[in-house]
Amino acid sequence: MFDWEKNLQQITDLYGLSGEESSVIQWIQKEIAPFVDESYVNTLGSFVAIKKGKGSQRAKLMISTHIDEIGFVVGAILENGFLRVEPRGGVDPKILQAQECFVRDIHNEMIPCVFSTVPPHLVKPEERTKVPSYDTLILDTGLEEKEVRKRIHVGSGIIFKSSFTKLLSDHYAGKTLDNRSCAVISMAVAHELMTVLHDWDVYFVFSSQEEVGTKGAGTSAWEIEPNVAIAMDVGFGSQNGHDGLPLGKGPGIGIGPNFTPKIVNDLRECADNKYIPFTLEPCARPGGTDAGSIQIVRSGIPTALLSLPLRYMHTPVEVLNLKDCKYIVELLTAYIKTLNDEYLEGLQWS
Amino acid sequence: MVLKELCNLPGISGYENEVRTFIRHEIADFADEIKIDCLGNLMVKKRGHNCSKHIMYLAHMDEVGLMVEKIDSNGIVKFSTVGGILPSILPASRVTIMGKKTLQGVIGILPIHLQKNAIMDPIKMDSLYIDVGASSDKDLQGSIEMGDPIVFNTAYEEYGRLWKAKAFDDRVGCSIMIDMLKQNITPAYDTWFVFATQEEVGLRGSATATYQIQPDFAVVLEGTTACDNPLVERNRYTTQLGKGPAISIAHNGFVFSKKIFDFFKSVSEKHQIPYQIKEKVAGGNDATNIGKGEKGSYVGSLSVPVRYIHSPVSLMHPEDYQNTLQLALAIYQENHSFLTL
Repeated sequence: MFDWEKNLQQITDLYGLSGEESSVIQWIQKEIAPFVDESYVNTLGSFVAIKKGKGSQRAKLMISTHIDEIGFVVGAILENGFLRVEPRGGVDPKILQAQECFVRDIHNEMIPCVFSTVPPHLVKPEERTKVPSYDTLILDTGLEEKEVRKRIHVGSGIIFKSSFTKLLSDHYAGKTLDNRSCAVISMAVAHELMTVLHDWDVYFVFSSQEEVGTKGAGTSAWEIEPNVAIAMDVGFGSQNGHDGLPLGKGPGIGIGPNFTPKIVNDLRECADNKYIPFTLEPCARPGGTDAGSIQIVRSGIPTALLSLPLRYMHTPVEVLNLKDCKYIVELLTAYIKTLNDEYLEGLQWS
Repeated sequence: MVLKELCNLPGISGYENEVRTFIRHEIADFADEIKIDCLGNLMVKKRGHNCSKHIMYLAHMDEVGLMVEKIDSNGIVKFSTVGGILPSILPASRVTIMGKKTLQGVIGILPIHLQKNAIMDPIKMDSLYIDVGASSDKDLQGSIEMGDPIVFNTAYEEYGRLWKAKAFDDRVGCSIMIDMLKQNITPAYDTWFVFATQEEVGLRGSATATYQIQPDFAVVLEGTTACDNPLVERNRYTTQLGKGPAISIAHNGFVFSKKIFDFFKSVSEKHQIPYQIKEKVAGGNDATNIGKGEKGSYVGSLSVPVRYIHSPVSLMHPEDYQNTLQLALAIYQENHSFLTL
């Protein structure tokens, strides 16, 4: 049995700012090893794990999930050891007051810290009506300045401190479910493929640096040259104030110029055949996810996108529904089974 | 010291039961008399050498938090604030709803990608809500309902040289009073230790406690604002961590007697206990009720500086705890000569 809770708990606890994903890679490497044939880390720090198929043509499917997370780096060490920070990736400064984080020291130890707040007793009227900026937010580690200067330097990485928590009805909350939850889905697919006959080689790419411009997926696709690529990322779930992908009702299947119509249709057909619910997710402009970079690599790669519905994206309290993760495993497994020699020919434009 | 256990307990204003039960158990062996009044104040008497005067030490048990106001049909929990909480500190925080069942929840916000023009709008309290993972209000029947208290989901932890927790305001005062009682000292005069309720919603518990005890002299033990960080102008620091207990000259509700101010200063100097003077008139506390209650009485306030007060995560300095406890103990054992003048 695939232990979803344990895997999600462990992978979301790990430190992995964009460009510094090595702890996450080490963990995935260890966990996925029994399910795959070979693996390696490429130049830009993405991790590739390959499950060989039985087909004669050695066609390749690439499944890309990014493993980096948003956060901050230390911009300056101020008097009394307070830290000024620079964001890495898109963090909303409105969520930061009284938010707990970890700053990673030179020995890779995680030091707890909190963003400062001015209490209501002392806040000025104009501060109440102003959105905080990175000029008005600093981190407090509780350490003495000389200790801070010994262990932390400009550029030290900072991530949210937030543990994976079960809510009601298969919902879970935590940090960096964007996009480690999809990485765990990839691992579950690899686990599933151990008992499934499939023709194509499946390249599971755990890509780096998505949050700073989908960098790792593009270079990985260039190197692998897949025949088909599916990016898997979180999509905007339905929540108060936003009518998005409903949680617990299956993945979003991206539709629009970024995605090859045949793959989109095949994914829909697989879902229908297996009674897997899904929501079509229209994306009028390419970009944002790994699919955006992958599609235009070399002479172009047939690409699709599966979205895991997620609420409160880019906060330490992102919420997913575990049912959706399991639906995606079912859908991808069914799709992989359909990939054979003829499938390649079907990808040509008429 | 039981500060860690106290801070981890839930107890918003009016719902201090768990805190009161814990404290009552802790101090049972050291009390000459225990009373719990109509408002839930826990009043613990220590008999003195002389019963002609009544001395009172008071700290409040309640903490700021939230309360369930409404459960929408889609399972979203709307809340009101209990005590002074700024909306800006709430988005993306974690809370625990103390209903028939204890539920974990998160306070949602629209992802930054979708905010469009609202990106520069400050957070408004009425736009906030709690997500417990329910698909509809039916999922929540029998678990939580309107009026259930909600506390911040923050566990006590050591933070560098400091301590971190929710509710240092004012479990730190409660913890100091418990430590004082455990010394089992016979004071000069009969002394009541009051663990008060409902300070954060308008100094309610201390009003009825003062009426019953009618103290000749009282000391309020409190966690107070420390805004000592480099982004805040020096004149808003109010107090600073690590510089000892803060003695107040005045707060928003009361001007303290110079006699008491001098008394506190002289006791700390005599015992070489560091202290600081609270520099800014900001916030108020139970001393207002005590000072102006009934015939009025002498009252003073000793405060432990706490950073990020009234938020889910506050920090304080262990040395400030020790020095405040030492000063409170020294005052407790002093001959209060100003009362007989």
